[in-house]
Amino acid sequence: MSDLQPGQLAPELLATAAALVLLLLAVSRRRPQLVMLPVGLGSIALGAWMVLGGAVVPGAVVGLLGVAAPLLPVLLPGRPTLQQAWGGGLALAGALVLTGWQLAVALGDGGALGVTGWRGSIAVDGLAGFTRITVYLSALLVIPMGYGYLQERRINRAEVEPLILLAAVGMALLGAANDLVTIVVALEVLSFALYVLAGLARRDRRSQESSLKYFVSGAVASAVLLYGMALLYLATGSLELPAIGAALGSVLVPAALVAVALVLVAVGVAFKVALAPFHLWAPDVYQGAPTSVTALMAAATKAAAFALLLRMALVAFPALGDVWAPALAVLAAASMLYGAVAALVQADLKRILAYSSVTHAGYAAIGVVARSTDGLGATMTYLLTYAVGSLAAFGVVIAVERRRRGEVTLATIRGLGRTSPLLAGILALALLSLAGIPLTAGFVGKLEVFRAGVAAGWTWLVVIGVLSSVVAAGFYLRIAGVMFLEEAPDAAPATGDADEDGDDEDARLPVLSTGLSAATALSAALVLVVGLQPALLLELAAQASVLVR
Amino acid sequence: MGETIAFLVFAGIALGAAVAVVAMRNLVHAALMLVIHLLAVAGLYLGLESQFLAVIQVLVYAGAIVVLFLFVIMLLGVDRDDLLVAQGRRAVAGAVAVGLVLAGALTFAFVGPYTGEASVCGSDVAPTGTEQSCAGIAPVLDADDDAGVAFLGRRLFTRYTLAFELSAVLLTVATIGAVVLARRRDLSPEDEDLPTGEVTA
Repeated sequence: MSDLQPGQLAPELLATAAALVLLLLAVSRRRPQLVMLPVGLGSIALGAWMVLGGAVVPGAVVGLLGVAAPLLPVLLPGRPTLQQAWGGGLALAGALVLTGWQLAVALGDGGALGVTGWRGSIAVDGLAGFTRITVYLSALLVIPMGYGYLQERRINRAEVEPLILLAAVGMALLGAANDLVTIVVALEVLSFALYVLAGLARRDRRSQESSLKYFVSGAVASAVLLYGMALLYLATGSLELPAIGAALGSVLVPAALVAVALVLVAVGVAFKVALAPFHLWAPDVYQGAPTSVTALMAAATKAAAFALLLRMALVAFPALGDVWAPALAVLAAASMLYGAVAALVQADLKRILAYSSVTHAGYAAIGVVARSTDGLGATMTYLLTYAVGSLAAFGVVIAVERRRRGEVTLATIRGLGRTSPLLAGILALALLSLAGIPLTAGFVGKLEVFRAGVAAGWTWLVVIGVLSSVVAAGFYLRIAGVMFLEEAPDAAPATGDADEDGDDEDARLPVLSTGLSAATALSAALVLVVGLQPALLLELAAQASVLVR
Repeated sequence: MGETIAFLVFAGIALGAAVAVVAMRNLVHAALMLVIHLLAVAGLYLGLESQFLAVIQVLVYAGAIVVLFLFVIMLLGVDRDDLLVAQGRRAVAGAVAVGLVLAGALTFAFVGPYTGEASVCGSDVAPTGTEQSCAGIAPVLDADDDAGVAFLGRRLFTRYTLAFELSAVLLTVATIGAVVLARRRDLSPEDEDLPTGEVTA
């Protein structure tokens, strides 16, 4: 048993503390310095103490955030929601830096990757680190993306940023959790936060529907998963994943019990990652939730849930690989095909992206099915590339939606290439990345999972993956065609918007704000950078393909 | 001896209250009978030296869950007793059949192994097949209060510190969520209604 080392949870501690400070800031309404000054001074003192104690990077991060805290109300007077957004963004940037620091220390000389921490509750390994990168990066991009959008829908409340931060903490801990108890609690933290975020727009029926459906299906999935875990504990007598894996390797465990446990856990996790046929909640939930929340769900939640899948599959159930791998392969194949075909007939852009996320869950699962170190690295890479690609796509959807105040359908974006070429270009780039066209991030990820799949002998699955990519490219190209080849409609289209009074030239132009453009442009830039220079990411993934077993 | 008396008393209350839950015509009374039933079961747990389980039974079942029941009943309307009337003979027969099957399955699976001769405490008969022999309370108590509160507490604050602390985060999230959902109407963003001068003061 190792000691309790705060350094192993540095990003989570920072994000949690920031969430609490932001809540206090929200409560303190007219006297923000009452909160921010003590917090800032305390953080500076803590940071200085840490730097003197030898922890230079985390100390510097804490100290800098401490300097930033009292400055926020000074620099942004009278804009509490903007202060919240900046605070949340800075905290997430700090968490990202701390994650990088953790990985650098662990991969450097004398570092340890693949150990457990906090008395076995968490794993300090590559999967945890990579999930943290994906999650914090996604959350960091989602906050500026959603700021103006939520503001206009009048749902940008003080609770938004704390909830996003705490959801990110839950996701990051889910990626690191090494025993069943921590897994369940982390899963619930992120789920609760997302249920509420999905239902933020309380006047919008679709948002309520989204929240309720997500809650009910999520609760059922959690219950099934919990039942499976209880049986797993009954069969193996341990809550720690490595110990469970070792126990399942022996012949002494009751087979029937383990079989039921495996099925229940698999179904529960498949619900969470939205693999077909357990994806039915995804389209409605993605469509109804506020778009920035949808982006967070697609990019970050997927990564966290896949981290859970990878860890359960490779650490807890490696001994039963011959049993679950074919089953998971069938699920992956079904997801890839069904998602691609179903997306073809959708008209709503958010629904299309939801079905595309089902497809992508299928691709990412190929790396799990491969049951190899390469497969692990490939899935982690894939999730990161999917996250940046889908974030860029959702950023453009937000920009279009802000003007339209309603659904974003194919008809809405007709002629977007003429009216705002840059935005249409970014959406096209994101879609190319999601389709897996070379020179984009998506290609890198897809190539990696396919390579790992072939290497592990799952050729038929990879063939289905390629076929599904071709079908998927169809609907991605259809969107691009609608944007660039079709003329923009002359008058405001008659889809029932009461908001547009005259001025139809202006009505077609999407609304951009600084945060939205910066975040969307950054996502698009990441898509390009990873696509053109994949070596760095692949090297990191290869080095970080370490699991605590 | 005292143990047996306690068992009989609590078992009697539990059974009586359980029947009353089904028989009561007023839904609120039925829910309150459920509280009595659950408290009696908690008493049975205490008789088995499972203090933790007994406390949890009171807190979670008799406390939280029944309160939830009462909330739902109040929301639906207390005086609507038409919900309680069984619809026709077929429904009654079905309910009885399901009840019998459930009782049979529980008896077979849980009570069955403890009905043979070997299950009588103090007997020297060797257990055969699935039959369980009597362990008695004493060895369980001797074995380092294995299911006791002290053991659970020690584990909670040593091995499972992280999960314990993380559940605080979970409760925070749930509280924020309740506040968000319970607010009567969406407020407009606060940015406009704060004059610039007051904030920096």
